[in-house]
Amino acid sequence: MIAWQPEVVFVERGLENSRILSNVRAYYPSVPVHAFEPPLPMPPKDFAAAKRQLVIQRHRGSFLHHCPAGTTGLVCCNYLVVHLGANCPFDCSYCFLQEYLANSPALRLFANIEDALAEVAAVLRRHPQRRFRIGTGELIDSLALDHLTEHTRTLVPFFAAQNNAVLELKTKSASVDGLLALPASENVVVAWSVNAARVIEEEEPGTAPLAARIAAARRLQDAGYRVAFHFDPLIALEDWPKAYREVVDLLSASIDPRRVAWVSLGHLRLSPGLKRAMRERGRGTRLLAAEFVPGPDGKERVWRGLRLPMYRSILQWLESWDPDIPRYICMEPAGVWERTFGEAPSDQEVAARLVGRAP
Amino acid sequence: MNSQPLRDAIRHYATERHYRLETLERWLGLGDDDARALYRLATSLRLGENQLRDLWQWAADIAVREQTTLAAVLEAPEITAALEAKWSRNDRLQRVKHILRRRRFPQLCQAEDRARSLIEAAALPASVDLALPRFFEGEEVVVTCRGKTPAELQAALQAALRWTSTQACAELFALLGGEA
Repeated sequence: MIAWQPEVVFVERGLENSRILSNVRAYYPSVPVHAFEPPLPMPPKDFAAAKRQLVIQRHRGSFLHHCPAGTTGLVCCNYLVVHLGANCPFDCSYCFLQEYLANSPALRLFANIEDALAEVAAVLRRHPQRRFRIGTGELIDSLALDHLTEHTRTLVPFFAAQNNAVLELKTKSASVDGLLALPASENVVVAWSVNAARVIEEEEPGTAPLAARIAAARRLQDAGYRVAFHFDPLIALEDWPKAYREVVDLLSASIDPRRVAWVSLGHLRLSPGLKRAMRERGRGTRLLAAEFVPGPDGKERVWRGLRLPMYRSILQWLESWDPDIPRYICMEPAGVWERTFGEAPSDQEVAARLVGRAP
Repeated sequence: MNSQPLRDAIRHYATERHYRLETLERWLGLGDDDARALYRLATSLRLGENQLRDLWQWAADIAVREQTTLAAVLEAPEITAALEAKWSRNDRLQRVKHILRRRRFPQLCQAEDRARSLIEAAALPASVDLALPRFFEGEEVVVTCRGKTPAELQAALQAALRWTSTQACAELFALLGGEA
């Protein structure tokens, strides 16, 4: 279980008997709980402090969205995201939520997962010929609070029963006990963000160490699940060849490559708002000192002379580990794909390679 | 200047130049050495707020990467030489920006230098221009050929075409591919 703990809980009226609140009370019996009738007015709060205000509510809007990383001019993997919460118990120094949720003064968990899955089911039925890849880890870590939400108890059987969708649970935790209690499904892939050990220590406080993430991945593989890894964000460390080679070596020593669904690479991307938020919070100052230049999508990335050699090297190491693991790069233009993979597939081709991999 | 007179001077300068309170408070929050170095930069070059902020950010990033202080960066001999040179304010400002940019983006600047020397060495006629994407963030080298007559245009195009077969051209594309 992660170290995060709420300081106060607000629960929407009608959800007092929800599974989430019941679990919150069990794990944090001394945390005060207040019922509210929406909307819940909350005074602005410092971003880190806001994460300790837990709101359990129904989500009334749409749950399913195209990944916000999909931008014109960049090769996209056609990923969809389901929002089952907003804000994250972790506080990585480079996290885009510092900008995206800057004015959201709470960590929200949505109790009406059945509405979310009804929306997903409708989309899957409308497009039976298309194979979807859907993740829950965009605005909140997919597993870090599973001990409270138990969302995996609903998500795994739901996706196991689908013919045209794969669920990706993306995490920086080692919280896999909930999944281990469920029968594994080929339609459920559990993915870990991985990074150089030093980056995890310095920039991802509260998350599981690299070794713990890999050990958790191995436990899930042994239980029949497929896993995936996201080298994101890559950081242009001075000793990056050694630092990232170590990550690949750790993976290849522990993980069965035949049960790896995909691996992605993505360099740190900074919107102006995110950069501003990081500086204002005094976070990631060493990261920001790298040679960032503006890209065609308005985000800054480390300039190509640093970025592309890293992609090429890591892709080569992954190829040496197992050439059959599908690999892709996140949020880069076709030209970068051409210069790293030697080709620039269409968005549809990328998606097909990822969800078409035979179990 | 010691602490209180320095801070009074900073307040006076920032107020006179209509700096926002946020920038002033950040400046006053620095240690004496750093605040003084920034004051020297600002007053010597008569910097407006945006100009100061941009140079300050570069210098601060350099200081983090090189594990030194803001003052040490801004008081480097070449910066001091630029500030004290008998040039116009604009020329001194451009020189300081150039120095800080090269230190802030060392590898990028090295690649830009290489690109420039490759283009110069091509010795293309004045009727042919080569342009690379800004910061190398793109795939295309753009060649512009000009002519006032068909013969002039033909000559420009032929010069450009000959250049595309050279090692220099291949190396320019390699720079775009991150193979500096």
